[in-house]
Amino acid sequence: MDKYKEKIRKRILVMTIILIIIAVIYFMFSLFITSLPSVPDFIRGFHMGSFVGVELVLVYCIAKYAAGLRKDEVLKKLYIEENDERTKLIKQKSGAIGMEICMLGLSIGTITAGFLDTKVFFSLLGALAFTALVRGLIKVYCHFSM
Amino acid sequence: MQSILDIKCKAYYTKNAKHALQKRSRRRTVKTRIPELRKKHKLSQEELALAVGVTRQTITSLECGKYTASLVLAYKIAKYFGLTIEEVFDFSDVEDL
Repeated sequence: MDKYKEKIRKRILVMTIILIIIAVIYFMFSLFITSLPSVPDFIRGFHMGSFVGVELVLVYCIAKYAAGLRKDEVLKKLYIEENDERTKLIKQKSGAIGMEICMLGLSIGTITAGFLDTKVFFSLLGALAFTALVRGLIKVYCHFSM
Repeated sequence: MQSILDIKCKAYYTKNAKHALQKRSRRRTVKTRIPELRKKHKLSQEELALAVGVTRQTITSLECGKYTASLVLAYKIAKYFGLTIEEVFDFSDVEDL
């Protein structure tokens, strides 16, 4: 459990650093927003929502881990939640199936976009190629690591 | 009114579906004596889960036969009850395959 405690401490540190970096980036964006090319309101809202969302998730995780460091019972629960074999299997299975479905969807989208718009077609093709590349690399890594 | 073909199809489908389900359940589940052992030791699912380092949901799934434990978890559970893995888990259906 001491090793896990140390792991949690490192995680809190990394998360705090990421939280500060994101806050600084967002602050800079809001300062120099006038010099940036104008974007539609929806996209601006999306950016803001993403920043705030990530910050909130990070704060939640830091609070959860900090509570674990204070109480041993909470720490044990956290450890069990994280290392439960059924949860891990569910994560693996859902990830693998999700990846397959995403690739199928992207393939259908790419083919359909080919008839409608060249820009969208190449964007989707790029996304499909990237997904396939990531999947392939992970597969190769797993083959060699197991 | 149902035609003979419909009835035949339904019967064929029911027979096949039943067979497939039986085959699936034979393949996927390993029967356990965990509920029985828990009662004997007066343990709740939560207590057993904490003792072997898994969540309560995992114990529930094991007892229902929805999930098959890994070798490590099977060993931990058997060790906790002071038994061998074969005494806690019934592998007779797996051996048939």
